[in-house]
Amino acid sequence: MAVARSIETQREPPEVPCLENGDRLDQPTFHERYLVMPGDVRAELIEGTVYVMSSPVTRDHAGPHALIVRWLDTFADEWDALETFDNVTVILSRNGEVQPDAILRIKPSHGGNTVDRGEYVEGAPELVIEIARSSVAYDLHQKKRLYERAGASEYLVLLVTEQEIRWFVLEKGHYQMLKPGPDGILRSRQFPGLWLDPRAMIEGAGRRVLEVLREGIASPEHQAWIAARKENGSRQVD
Amino acid sequence: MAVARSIETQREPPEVPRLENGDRLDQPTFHERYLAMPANARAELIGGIVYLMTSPVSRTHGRFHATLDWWLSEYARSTPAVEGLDNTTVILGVFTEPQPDLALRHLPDHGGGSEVREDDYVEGSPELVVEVSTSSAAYDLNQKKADYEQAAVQEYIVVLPHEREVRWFSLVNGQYQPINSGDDGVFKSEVFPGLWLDSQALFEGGDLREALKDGLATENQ
Repeated sequence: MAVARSIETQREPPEVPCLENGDRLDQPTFHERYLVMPGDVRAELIEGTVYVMSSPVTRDHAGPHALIVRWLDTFADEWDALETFDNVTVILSRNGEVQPDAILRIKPSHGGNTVDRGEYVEGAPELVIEIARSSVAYDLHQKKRLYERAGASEYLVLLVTEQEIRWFVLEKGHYQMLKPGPDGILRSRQFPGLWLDPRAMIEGAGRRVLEVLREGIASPEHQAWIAARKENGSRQVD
Repeated sequence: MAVARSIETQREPPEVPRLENGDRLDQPTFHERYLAMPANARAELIGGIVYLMTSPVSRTHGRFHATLDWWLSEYARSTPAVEGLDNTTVILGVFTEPQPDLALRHLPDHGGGSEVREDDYVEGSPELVVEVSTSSAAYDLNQKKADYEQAAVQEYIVVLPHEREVRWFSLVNGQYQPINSGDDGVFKSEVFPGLWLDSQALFEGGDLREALKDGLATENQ
């Protein structure tokens, strides 16, 4: 039967199947398959659905990304219990494993919400940041729900097309938009002193971004927070 | 401010934005953006979510697709007022625009549920849809199945080459129920009389012609 041979699956499927965009998987299966994918493939599991990212990264994404990391790093430098990660794998739940553009967390050793699992972060970071193409991107929908349910205290999304920053804070399990002060400055609740001039960030005005951040770091609320956390920490050590 | 310039968007965003994997869109917006994408991009809107297909197509998928294409075409040729579609855009609803591997429709003047728009796209539900799927974890058996069910596609066939399985669903009171094959491995369509599929032959490389001929002969009596 000539037809027969030609449609047989001559090759056995690989031992660990490839991730396919849209697959429905749980986190452990996703993780196992992700590990065997070629090095340049990036994928996320959001609410049990696999999203494979293969687009090249554009300048208007990478620029704000770099500045955001600088902003976070500058803040994290103020206290050694803080840590910034760029594009790290975060295991959130049975149905969520993502690679946010940036996170800021309190280290597990200092009572943070996340733990280290192998080479990865597990649990909801205190602050997650994503740079999204536009408000129709999954960052403001599927992913936002995932972070909300996982309990990430704050979630900041920079929208490249709309030239807008949306900073969400968790209130009774739901994200509410953080409102800027009368001076237009956004102030983190989770991290007192983490201040952001959203216009400056959108415009890529790095000096202005860091200037406002330094004001936040110098503010009494920041100093009081650090003092309280440190005292708390040393008491725990005792 | 030197830093500023370097991350400014020097280029205006294009008039019609690109589709991005995972976007939340309605069908008209999806369709408009899809039309503006490069010709090799393939995308589907399922449950209001954009799925961009970027993988190359494997030989296994291509072979099964070709075989099933032959099978449906042969049936359509032998049956009046029935049309087969290969990889054709189907507009199913406000949040759904897939490109099923294969579809079979009754023509509208013969009770078919789909129509052809002026711009030559099919709108409404074909009576039968076929997808060749990499695994049972694929969205074909999950998100897509839910959309076909919602759109009242009467029968939905998912062929799983690696798992050597055919899953054939039929709409009963708005919900998909599995149709089983006979002991001989032959599935028989309820919505297209005579459309019989020999699943053993499909996976073991046999001839699909025999069962189809039997089906057509039975129904044409």
